[in-house]
Amino acid sequence: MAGSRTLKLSILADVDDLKKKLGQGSTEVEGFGTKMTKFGKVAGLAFAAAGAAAAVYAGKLAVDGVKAAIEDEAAQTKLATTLQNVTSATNAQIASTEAYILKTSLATGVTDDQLRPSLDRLVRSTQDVEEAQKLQTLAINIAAGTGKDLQAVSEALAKAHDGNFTALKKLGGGIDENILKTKDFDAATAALSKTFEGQATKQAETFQGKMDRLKVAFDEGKETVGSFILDAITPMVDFVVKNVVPAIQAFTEGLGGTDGLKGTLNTIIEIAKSILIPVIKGIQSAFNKVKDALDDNKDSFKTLFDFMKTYVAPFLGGAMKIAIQAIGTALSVVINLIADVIDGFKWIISNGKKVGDFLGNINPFGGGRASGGPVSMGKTYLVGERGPELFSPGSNGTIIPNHALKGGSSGGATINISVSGAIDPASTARQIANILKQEASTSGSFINLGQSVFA
Amino acid sequence: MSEVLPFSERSMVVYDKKELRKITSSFKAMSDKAVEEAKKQSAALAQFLGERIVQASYSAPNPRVATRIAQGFRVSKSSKIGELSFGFAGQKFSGGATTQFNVGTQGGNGLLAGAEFGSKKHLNFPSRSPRYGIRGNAGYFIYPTLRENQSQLIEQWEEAFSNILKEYD
Repeated sequence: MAGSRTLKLSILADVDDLKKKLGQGSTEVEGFGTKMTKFGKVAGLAFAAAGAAAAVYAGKLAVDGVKAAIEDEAAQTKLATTLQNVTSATNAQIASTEAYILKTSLATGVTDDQLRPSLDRLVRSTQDVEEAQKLQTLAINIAAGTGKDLQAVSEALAKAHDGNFTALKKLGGGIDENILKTKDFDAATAALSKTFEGQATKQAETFQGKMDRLKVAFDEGKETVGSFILDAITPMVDFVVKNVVPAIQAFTEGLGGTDGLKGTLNTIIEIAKSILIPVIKGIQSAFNKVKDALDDNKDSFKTLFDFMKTYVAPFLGGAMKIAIQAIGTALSVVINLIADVIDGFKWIISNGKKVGDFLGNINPFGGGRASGGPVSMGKTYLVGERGPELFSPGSNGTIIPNHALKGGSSGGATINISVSGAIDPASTARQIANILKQEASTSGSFINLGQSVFA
Repeated sequence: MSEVLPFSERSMVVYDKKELRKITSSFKAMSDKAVEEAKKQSAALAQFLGERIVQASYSAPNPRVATRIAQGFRVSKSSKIGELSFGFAGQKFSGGATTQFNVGTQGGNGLLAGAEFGSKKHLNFPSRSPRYGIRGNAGYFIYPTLRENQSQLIEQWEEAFSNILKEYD
């Protein structure tokens, strides 16, 4: 019982002893076969769990990342608008403020979700980005020192800047009563700076502080991954909607179309090629875009990369590796899914003859007669002047194809046109149209020919 | 099962290897429904034992502490072998001591070991309980009650198990 602070009893015996012996009994009970079965089950469960976990994690990472990326963009826009409206900040100044937020966030462990509204509020009072940033640093120190919410501290400082010291007094920063009475903001901030100096830095170096910073870095990573996923998935979804769905519709309709099974299967090969290659190219392009974005914004990413290298990699090397592998697994599942569809098409193509034979055996199918040819009694043929129709003749015979009818004596008509004295394409066309119109007026079928051209 | 000795000589009931194999095989062969039922039956028996220990604590050498320890027992709802626990950090006495097992260990001064087995060093506990076999002291209210009731409980447990296996498998 040494080392245990809770006494456990079993009605059967002393728990530790019984469990140990049950374990021994279990080992002796299991024969080789049982063990193998058990291993199979355990291994199967483990693989299933790992697969599910990976998929869920990849999915969650993607969903969280995308969500975070969207929310982050909204928060950035809100702050940027305030900066533009209040301080007439340029795009470069806004970008610089975002860089400051990222740096502060990684250094202190305070999330950008907290920093942006805080800065927003301080900018509105001070109407100066630089001063707002200084006050925010003080606010972060006070929040770390007092354990109060950063937003509340920022609100108090902003109100004090505007001349209302009540909230600042309530913070309990130990400001001299004379300062509060005279409402001397500079003296108040000086006193607070002295009291809370270095609180945030010390807090950031504690274990909890490091964990907070790690979380910030990981969240930043998630937002980045979220945008990667958006970049990778959007063209794929787009492609599937525009190409794969119509291709499958064409395949289904093609089976009953006039071209017959053989013609359809031949086009499927091309469709299959046209599905696989662009999907791979799409993914490649998406990742190339990400790579280019990283290359183009090396400086912007440097702070994050440095932090990741120093703090995240040693702690989360394994976890990040798993996450990236999980994303790879998720994408490979999508690719494999499409590959499976294509394999299915290939199987149909390679077995098309067998399928045809099979259909022929169960439903005496003689094939299509789009090109004409003999038909036998008792078999069914694919024919049709207005869409596909099935034809089961009661006696042997022959199908004469459409092109043979046009060239034959029964339906064809030859019109000889002689154009004389034409000096330009328009007059040539006019002469041809007049001749055809004349022909139509006698035969009764070309009455409107050329009207639109000369109108 | 090993031979049942007269109460004065009774020790913990110990299953031999053959019996343990049987139990293990039974556990493995049980369906989910049977396992659920087994957990219920085992928990009921453990509850019975816990209540008997509470009764015994009233006549322990230091009944105030012993009763407090005994009344805090918890029955495991997930065990098939009827487990119950004593001694928790959450059960505190006015001076800050807890009902945990050890005295002076990290996490506070636990009173359970002293109350159950006595102490020569800490005078707030009763004197050491008599030696019991080769395993240490006999105890005052927990272990004697367990030993006293164990044969009966095991019989009931085995019977319940046998019925469960017949009924559900």
